[in-house]
Amino acid sequence: MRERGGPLLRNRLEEIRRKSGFTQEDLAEKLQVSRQTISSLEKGRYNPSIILAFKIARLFGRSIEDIFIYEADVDDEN
Amino acid sequence: MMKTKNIIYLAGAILGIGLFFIGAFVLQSNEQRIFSGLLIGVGSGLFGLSVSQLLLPHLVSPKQQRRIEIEAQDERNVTINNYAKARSFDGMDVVYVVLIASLILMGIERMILFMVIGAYIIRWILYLFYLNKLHKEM
Repeated sequence: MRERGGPLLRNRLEEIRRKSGFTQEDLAEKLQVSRQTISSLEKGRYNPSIILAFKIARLFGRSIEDIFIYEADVDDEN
Repeated sequence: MMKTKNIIYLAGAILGIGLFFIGAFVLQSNEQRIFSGLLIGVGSGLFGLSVSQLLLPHLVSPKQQRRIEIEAQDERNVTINNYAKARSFDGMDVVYVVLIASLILMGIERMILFMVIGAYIIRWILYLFYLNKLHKEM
C-alpha cells in the first residue's frame, strides 16, 4: 500500500530472497511480519518503514540501497 | 506482563458477571428497566471479551499464538488499520451532517439535537487533541 501520489520505491527483494533460498514464509518469520507484508513488498505495493528496511538489509548483509531503489534516483541517473 | 494481562481479564470477567447480576436481579423496578438492560448488555459483553482473552492462549498452539501476535503487530496491518480508521472518520463527517440536518427537518426535541451536535463537537475536539499531541511527540 503506497501513499497516494507518494514516491515509488522499487525493490529487488524477491530476487535477493530467492538467491538466499528463503520462502516468503521463512522471510516473514525471520522479520516478524506477516507473509502478506513480504508479498506486498515484493510486488511494490507497500513501502516499508525505515526500521523494516534496515531489518531486511541486515538480514541479507546488504545496504538498504542495494535492495530498495528510490525511483527518483533512477531518474537522476538517466 | 502476561500475568498482569490475565489479572485484568479475570477482573473484567468478574466485573462482567457482577454487572449482569445487578442488571438482571437487583434493578427490578419499572423506572430502572433501561438501566438494567444496559448493565446486562455491558456485563455480558465484558464477560465474553475477558473470558475469550483468558482462554485464547490455551485454545491455540504456541505457534498459532505467535502468528496471531505477529499479525496484530505487523506494520502493514497496523498501517492499513489506521488508514481505514482515518477514512471512516472522514466518512462519518458526512453521516453527522446528514443526521443533524434530518433531525432539524424532523423537528426533533432540542435536547436530543444538542446531544448529537455535542457528539459531533466532541469528535472534533478529540481530533484536535490528538493532532496537537502527535505533533508534539513526532
